[in-house]
Amino acid sequence: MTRHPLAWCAWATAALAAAFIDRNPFLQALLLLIVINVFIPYRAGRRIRFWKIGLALAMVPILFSVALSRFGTHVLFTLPAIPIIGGRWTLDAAVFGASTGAALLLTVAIFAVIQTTVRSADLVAILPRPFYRAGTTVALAIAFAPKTAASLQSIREARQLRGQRAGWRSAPQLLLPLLLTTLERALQYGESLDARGFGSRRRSRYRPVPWAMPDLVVAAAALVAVAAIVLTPAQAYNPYLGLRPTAPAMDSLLIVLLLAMPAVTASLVRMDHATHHA
Amino acid sequence: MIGLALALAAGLAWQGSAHAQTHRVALLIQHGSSWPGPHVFWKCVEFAQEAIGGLALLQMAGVNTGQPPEIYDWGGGAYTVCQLDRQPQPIPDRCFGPMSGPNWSDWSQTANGWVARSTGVAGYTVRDGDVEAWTYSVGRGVQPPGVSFSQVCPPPQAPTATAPSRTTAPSTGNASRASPSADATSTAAPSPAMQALAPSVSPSAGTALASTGPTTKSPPRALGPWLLLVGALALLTGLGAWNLRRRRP
Repeated sequence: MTRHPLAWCAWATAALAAAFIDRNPFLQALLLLIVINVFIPYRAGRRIRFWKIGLALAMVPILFSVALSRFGTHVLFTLPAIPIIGGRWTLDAAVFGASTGAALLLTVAIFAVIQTTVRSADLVAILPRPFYRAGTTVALAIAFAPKTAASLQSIREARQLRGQRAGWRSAPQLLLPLLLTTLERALQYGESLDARGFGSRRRSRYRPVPWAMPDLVVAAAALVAVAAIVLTPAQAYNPYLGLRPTAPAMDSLLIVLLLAMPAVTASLVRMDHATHHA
Repeated sequence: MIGLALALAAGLAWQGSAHAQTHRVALLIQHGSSWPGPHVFWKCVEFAQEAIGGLALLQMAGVNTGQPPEIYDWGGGAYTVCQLDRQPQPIPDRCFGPMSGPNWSDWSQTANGWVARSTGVAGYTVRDGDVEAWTYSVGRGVQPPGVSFSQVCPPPQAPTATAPSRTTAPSTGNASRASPSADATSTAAPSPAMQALAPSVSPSAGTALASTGPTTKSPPRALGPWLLLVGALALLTGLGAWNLRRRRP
């Protein structure tokens, strides 16, 4: 398993570069499959709503492109002269939107993988010394929002158990307990930071993540991929010029395949554990 | 005194022209399929500068019956050519008409054959020995027929015939001033910069090119990337399914 946050950052950089630069549909499909494959062994058992967000985001450019663009030669249908949306709706515009949407979906998927695999505490721990305090504060602030949402949910559930109404009209009655819980949590955070000597010059390290072999392999593959993506010509795809995409270049395929390294290492290491325990 | 000055000026002019070498570019123009008259014709354009822009080349060639070509100014120094050699006639709305209609596309000859220009007519320069082509077609444009530079611009055989006329040319040779607009007024006496153009709207050009034939040999389709892509997709799907099953004991 790859655990080191820097290895994951390198992988995310390479994957995002590939997602932004390569627009060939075959490469995009391959990259999406790779990201899903990387996600599967590392998923933490809970239901993820990222795919819904990603798919919704991917639909937006399709709608905008097909409704607003009047270019292209493959006409789907022609609307009467209504302002803005009237005129020829073309397949080319829809495909162009889908290409952009796929890039957005890939971006969301890559960040979903990063959010599942990298703990913000690990990331803060490897920050250089001048950024340590600022990083800790930002990490705490980011963690605060989901915690508040979770406590709101638990307060609502407690009210429902007591047989009280849970509609939007009950919002004012939710506010006071929510405020109290939030203040309580803030005080707890402050005390625990104090107990760990946050204000002092010293910096404590709790269970630092070592560089293991899978981390090194993943980071090296990601660095090679980043360099290759920057140096080789991008695989462009413009549906307005030619609807049929060209065959992906051999080197681009190999570069994208390098990004599957976390999935490969995860599978191998887990196999080892299985044999040990058996 | 006057005679001395004239002799001096003539000497200076001769000196200058001896340094100013003529450069030549082959220009090829291919009309659309519905064009009455010869579809393909070429011109050897001479100029004094090291390199000239694409628009200057068209102006000096005088391909629009001596008029400069009709262009559309996008602003910011970007131009689109919308009428060459009287096609299309009349000039459509917004100069180039609908995007899906026929238009002029710009090609340059490289070692690997014709390559479409993507910079607009003002975005490049041509040098001595270049071959530039314009074709009128729908969409991305059709490739011009294969033609070599020496076909259009044969090596000069009678340098004595051109030498005297060159002495009259301004040594610094601002060729864009000797543009077709000046030439159009007096077609009998060609301007110095367009000397020895030998404009050959050869009626046999179409047949001559048809005999050589445009090379329509398509490159062999490479199987390697497809095999790799299909193999990788199958492998990744298998790996994903295996990981999914492992996770669920």
